[in-house]
Amino acid sequence: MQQKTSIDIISLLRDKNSQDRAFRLILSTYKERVYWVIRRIVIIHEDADDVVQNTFIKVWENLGKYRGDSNIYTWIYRIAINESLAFLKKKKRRSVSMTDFGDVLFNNLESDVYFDGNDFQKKLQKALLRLPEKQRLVFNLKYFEDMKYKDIAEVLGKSEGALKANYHHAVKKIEEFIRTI
Amino acid sequence: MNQSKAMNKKGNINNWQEGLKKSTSSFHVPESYFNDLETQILQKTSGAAKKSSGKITSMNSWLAMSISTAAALIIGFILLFPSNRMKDSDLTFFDDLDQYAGYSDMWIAEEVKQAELDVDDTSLGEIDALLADGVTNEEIINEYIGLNNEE
Repeated sequence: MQQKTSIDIISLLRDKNSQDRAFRLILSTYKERVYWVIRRIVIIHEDADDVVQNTFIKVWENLGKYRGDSNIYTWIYRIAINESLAFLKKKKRRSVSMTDFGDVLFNNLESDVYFDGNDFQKKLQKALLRLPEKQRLVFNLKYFEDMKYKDIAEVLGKSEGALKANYHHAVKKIEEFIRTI
Repeated sequence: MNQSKAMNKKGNINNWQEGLKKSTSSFHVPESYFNDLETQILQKTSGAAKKSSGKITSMNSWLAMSISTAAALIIGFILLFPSNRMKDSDLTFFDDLDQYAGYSDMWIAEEVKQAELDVDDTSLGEIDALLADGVTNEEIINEYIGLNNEE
């Protein structure tokens, strides 16, 4: 089904007159998946809402540049992740706190009205937020999105070997963190 | 806490992974968020499209205004700057004035000649004849005034 949609989108994109329809199809197909990818990176809903809107506006602006040589969803994910990381970078710069930025994000999570996890679930999120940025990204895409290493490599522009190593390290660190609590 | 201790005892990675899966289901969004999101994004993209087409329109009007201003300036320059008109006769503005001044005598002579041609020889001959007959200038003038008053 996903594959069919992707083919439909690409064929619509070939004709400039049907680009608007292609964008509507992209939006209806990927909005939720893209939102959750972004939400797991930026954590709170308000931020995710800003980033997801910017992401789809970028997608719309750059539809003409999509060459069709990669999966449409990996192309959109790449834009979404770049937007999310750029957003976090700005937020990090604005943050005057001397504490670790992972802790800042965790504090944001605790105050987010759209998160209602119990203590254990919060601790797991804390473990994730303590991961280095790249490991967290790889872990999110592999674990939550269930993406293939090949596709993650396309999104992040890394080799599959490096991604496997990143994922392995991420899992070890989470385990270690859980042992300490 | 107890849950994590139990998991550690088991040493089973799948347990925390299950917990993690559940933790992500603890994230929520406002009701009907995704429908509103789609509407908002479509509004923004159509707004941006209008803005960009508006840019082209305003650019066209600016271009038209610039062209008409430039044309007006060129026409004004041609009409108001006298040196442009004198190019054909190879005269400057001052040469032109000098020329008029130099030819003024000739122009006066021409004007006088033309005036003489315009004078009615017959009426002059009559006056001369009246004067020769001993009629004074005053009488002639009084007669002339009287004739004009009758008319």
